[in-house]
Amino acid sequence: MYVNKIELENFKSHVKTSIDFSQGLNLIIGLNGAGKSSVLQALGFAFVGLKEDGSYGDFITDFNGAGFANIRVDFVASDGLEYSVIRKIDPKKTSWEIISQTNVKRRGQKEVLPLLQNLLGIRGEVKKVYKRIITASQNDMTSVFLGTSAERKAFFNDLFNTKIYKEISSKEMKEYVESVTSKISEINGSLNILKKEIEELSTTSQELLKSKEELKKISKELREVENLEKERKRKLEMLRKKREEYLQLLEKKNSSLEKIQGLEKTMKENQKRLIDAQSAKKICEESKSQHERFEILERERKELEEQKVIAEDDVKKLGDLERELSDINNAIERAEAEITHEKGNVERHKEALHTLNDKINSKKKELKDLEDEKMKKVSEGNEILEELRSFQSLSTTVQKITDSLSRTDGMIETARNRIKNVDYPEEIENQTQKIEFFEKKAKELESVKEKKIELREKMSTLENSRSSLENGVCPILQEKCFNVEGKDVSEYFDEKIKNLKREFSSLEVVERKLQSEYEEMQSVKDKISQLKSEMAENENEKQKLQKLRDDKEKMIDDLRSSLEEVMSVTNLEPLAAREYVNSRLRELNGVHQKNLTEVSSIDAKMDDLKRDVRSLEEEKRAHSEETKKCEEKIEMYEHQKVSFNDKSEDLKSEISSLSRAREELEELKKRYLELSNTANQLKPFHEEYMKNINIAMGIDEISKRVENTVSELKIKKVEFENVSTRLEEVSNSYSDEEISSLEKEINTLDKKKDEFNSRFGSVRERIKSLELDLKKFKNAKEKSEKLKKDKEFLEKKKHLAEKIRKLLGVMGPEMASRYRKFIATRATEKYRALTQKVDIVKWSDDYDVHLISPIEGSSSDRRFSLLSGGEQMVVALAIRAALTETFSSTKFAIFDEPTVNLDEERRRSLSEYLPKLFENMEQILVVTHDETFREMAEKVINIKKENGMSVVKM
Amino acid sequence: MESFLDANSMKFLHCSDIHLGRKPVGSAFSNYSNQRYEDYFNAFDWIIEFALENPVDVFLISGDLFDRRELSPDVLERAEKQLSRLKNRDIPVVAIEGNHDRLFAIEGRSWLEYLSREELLYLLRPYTLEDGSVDFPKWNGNSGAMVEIKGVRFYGMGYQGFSFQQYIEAIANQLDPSKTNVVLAHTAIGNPSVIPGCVIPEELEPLIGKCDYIAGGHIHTKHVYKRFKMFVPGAPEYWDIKEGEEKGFFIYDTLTKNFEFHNSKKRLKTIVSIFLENGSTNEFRSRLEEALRSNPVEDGSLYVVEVKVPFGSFLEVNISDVEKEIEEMGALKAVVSVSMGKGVKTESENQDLEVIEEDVIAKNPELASYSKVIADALENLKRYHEMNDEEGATETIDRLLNEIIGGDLDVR
Repeated sequence: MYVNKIELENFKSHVKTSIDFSQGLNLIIGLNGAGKSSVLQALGFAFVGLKEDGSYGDFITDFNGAGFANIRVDFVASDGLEYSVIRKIDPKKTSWEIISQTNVKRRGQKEVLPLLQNLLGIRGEVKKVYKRIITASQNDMTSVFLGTSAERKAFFNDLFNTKIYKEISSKEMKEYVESVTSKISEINGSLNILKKEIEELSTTSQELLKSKEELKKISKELREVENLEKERKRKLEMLRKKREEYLQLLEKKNSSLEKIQGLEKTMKENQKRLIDAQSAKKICEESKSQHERFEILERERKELEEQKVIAEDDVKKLGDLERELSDINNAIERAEAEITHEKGNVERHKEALHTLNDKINSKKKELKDLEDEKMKKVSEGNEILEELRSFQSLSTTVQKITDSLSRTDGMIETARNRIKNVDYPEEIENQTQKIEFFEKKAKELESVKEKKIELREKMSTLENSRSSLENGVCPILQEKCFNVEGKDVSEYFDEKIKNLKREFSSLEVVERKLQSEYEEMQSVKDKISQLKSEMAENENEKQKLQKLRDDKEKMIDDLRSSLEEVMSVTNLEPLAAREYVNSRLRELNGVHQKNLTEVSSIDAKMDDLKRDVRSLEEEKRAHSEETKKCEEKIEMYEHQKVSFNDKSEDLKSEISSLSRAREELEELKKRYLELSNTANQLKPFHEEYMKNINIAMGIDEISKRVENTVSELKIKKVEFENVSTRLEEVSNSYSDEEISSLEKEINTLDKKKDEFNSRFGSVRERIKSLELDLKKFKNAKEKSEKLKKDKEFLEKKKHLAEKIRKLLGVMGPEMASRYRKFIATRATEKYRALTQKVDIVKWSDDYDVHLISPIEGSSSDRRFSLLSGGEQMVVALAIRAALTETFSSTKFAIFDEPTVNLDEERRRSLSEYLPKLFENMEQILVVTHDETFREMAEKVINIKKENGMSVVKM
Repeated sequence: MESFLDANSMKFLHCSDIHLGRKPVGSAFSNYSNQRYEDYFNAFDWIIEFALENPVDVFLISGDLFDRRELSPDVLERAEKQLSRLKNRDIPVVAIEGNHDRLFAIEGRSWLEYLSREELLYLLRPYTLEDGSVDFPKWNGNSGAMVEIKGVRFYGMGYQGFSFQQYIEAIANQLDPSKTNVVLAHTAIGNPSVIPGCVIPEELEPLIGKCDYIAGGHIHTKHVYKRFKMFVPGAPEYWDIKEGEEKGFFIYDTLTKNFEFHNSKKRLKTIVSIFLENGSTNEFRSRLEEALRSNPVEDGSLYVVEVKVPFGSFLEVNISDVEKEIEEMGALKAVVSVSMGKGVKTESENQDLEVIEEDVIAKNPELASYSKVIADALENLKRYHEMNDEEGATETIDRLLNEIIGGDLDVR
């Protein structure tokens, strides 16, 4: 744990203070009353609520009448996280809040203090440990071990808080035992009440058993009544059914009688109809033969009528056929005339075709001759054209070469003119000799220039000397100089300067002359370089000329080889060759043109002939087509003629088959008349027959119907007999008196049943209430069991609590003794580590510290008061460190004015051992007014008082 | 059905307290510091190797990846390389800060935050609102306290010192029990006044039934608290030479809810205990020789000698000379620790007050077997006495007596 920052507002003398701390040793230094202790007070109040006597108002500054004070401490806690604890104070109340670095907040002592105890790493009593162990107050350093036995006991027992065991024993444990005891007596009370209740309810179970028996008996009797009633009801039902059956049978009997009467009436009617039918049958039998004869005649007459219709049709048809035959014979004649006409036409066309063929053949022969001639001319033309082309290309080549030749000749001429006939090497040699002379002159010029500079320096020295001597002090005489070598200063120097000037101007004349010569040398140099470049150019021109000549030779060779390719003559001069080639070309052109004209005149003639042939062939085709048409017509007429002939033959045979039709018709008419007369005589008999036959035919059906009615009547009568018998039986099997007596009996049974049911219900109610009582009884028993157990448990608790109470009551002194031993052991380790000695720290029962030092074979045991001042300080520090480790895990300690009242030896010892002892601490705050620890401090915080307010300087 | 299984079925690896960059202080003449510095990287490498060879879906680090808030370039560079291996195989890393590598409020960004921005891990952190209430927002791409991977929700509680209770209550309200929830918290069950940053069992109760796995840390040896489904894998390499042996990492299957513990690869350590009867130098020497004979020093190993001397006696031996002797026999580092008493070593040496009280109580034959619980209760009782809190006192006594008798009938 370590503090990062403390902020105070209106806290005592701190109106607005902010102190940053670092890890390690922090020194808060200042004069008495500067406000150092207020910082520790604020820290103690914020961390553990530590407060001296007095009210909260004492914390608030009286400087500005603010009426409130604030403390804020930022620190890193034992869990490694940052927290801020904030206390706001006003005279009547304070608030306490702790905020984690992630803004989790807790407020109020009950929440804050336990957390702070953990965050600070304090064991045991927070306030005491903080006040007595974490903080080492002034005077506590060694004096606490030097007081009287009673003082020491009071101090350390308070620190070890050994009386707390007794306090707890006589307060919390006592109260606990009391409350357990009262709880036990409470339980005893409850148990007594339960006991009474249990006794009261103890007979419930038997009563319940009895009631259940009764219920069983009632339900048995009830069941018997119910069975009897059921049986009676069944019987009643049966009798009622019989009565119903009787009524139904009665109805059936009446309806059966009605049906029999209806059937008898129907039968009488049918018997009368049967007699009528039998008389009609007799009439029919008497007229039957006449009737049959009439039927036959009538059929014959119908046949004749049909035949007559057919015969009339035939006669009509015959007339039609005869007309048709004469039409066809006319058509045949017309077709024959057409055929003769068309045959003549065919003959004429054939003659014309013959003549046309002859004409075409002669034209074609002429055309073939012309074709041959044309082929000959064309092949001649191709030969000429080939030659012409080779000469054309030759002519182009020759032209090109001769043109190049004449150009080259021109260039050769120009080149020859450009070449200069000068001997350049000799000329250059002459000029170079001149240069050597001039270079000598240049050297002279250089020496003249140097001499000039020398003179100018001399002059300027003289000028300076003159002016310094005229105006200044002589370096030898230390005063102004008035003569040199017996002369006035200016005179002496002017003379010398004049001579030098003369010499200088003569040198200038020489320099000018040499300068002009030097410039001439420059022109000679230019000339040489010009000559050299001219020479190079001349050489170049010569080479060019040679190249042109070579080119010309090559061209002539080319010309010769081109000519060789086309013609035999080759040894021609270039111009003659050109002339020759061109004339030959012109000649060939003429021949070629002539050939072309001839060919085109042949082509014209051929075209004429071809046109003639085409028109002739056109004419031929027209004639052929006409011939074809005529032949087609002939064929068509021939065809017509044949079909007409066939039809004429058919008609003729048909007419011959109908030749007798008219006579047959006359005959049929005569026969029909005879037949009609006979039939008319028989017609009255036929009509009588037809009138009676239908009635006679009904005889069978009527007699069957009569038969059916008779048999049905028989069945119905039997049925009627049966019903009558059954009716008699049923009417004997029941009586209305019996029914009404049964109804009465059932009514009585119903009443009896209701009575049983109500008795059953009341017994059942009683059982329910008894069962509830039984439950109550059981509950009470259970409850009492549980309470007994609880009582037992609480008695155990009481017993144990009393034991613990007793133990705590006597534990204090034993604890104090253990603490002493434990801390002394740890202090010994610390002491040894610090001093490298093997002494032992012992802490006796009266809290007197002893240091036991081994001395060869035995040992010396010295009380604290007998130790040297330095030893006392080391032992005290060792015990304090052991206490800190035991009572806290915090690595934080405060020393409040540790050096006050210390002599020099103790002070030295403290400053030597304190840092060593606490070097594993995260932070130590030392409040002091002197400088003892200044040089080992990580941070020094100065607090001063200015105008009554505390001011902090880091 | 299959997709449902896929949604919540995964395997993750859970490790903690890697402490990269730790350089334990050693003698000026040995290269102990430098070798140990490498050991922490090697231990982490070995875990990563395991995760790559036996692929997991997620890699959890429950705080203290680094030993310090401030890092040297070498530590950062090596950590980035190690985490990149997981990233290259698409194994997401979910991490929280511990007490060693978390920041103070004023300091700005932590190195874990930097790694999170470099997308090498998800750094989960709860948020505190203006009114002091705690929130666990979903990962928004840059920051958050909850990230959902393959249907499993990972919540990060970080390290909260003595304020864990508030955070646990807040997260208990926020967890959806129908989901698979994993909570990363840099804490373990213990006595916070002995080991600050631990939580007591009561504080974890709100999480029962609400989360499938609490990925704990802070304590450097393996602990499994089945009731709370809390798993503490321990630091894979000895942070302190006196730490226990069981250290490693867990593999957890969210579908079958099975876990496997794997030991980490760490430096060889030998512990020998010596009990002295009179505490003389001769006795110490002869016992030490015996111990060294039966447990020979191995080259490059750590060697711890625990010496118990009788209460009130002092060992006249220069401890550092003995340590040097053992180091000359080949140990990389030797530690000899001397303690007094019955030989029962408690969690921390700072429990002296309770031990003394316990001892005094134990003298009463009837209460002897309950001395520990009585001493614990006395601690609270004293506080309630100081605060004049009768109710608290009665409750404390009730609880104590119930525990001893084995019942739960209170006076109040």
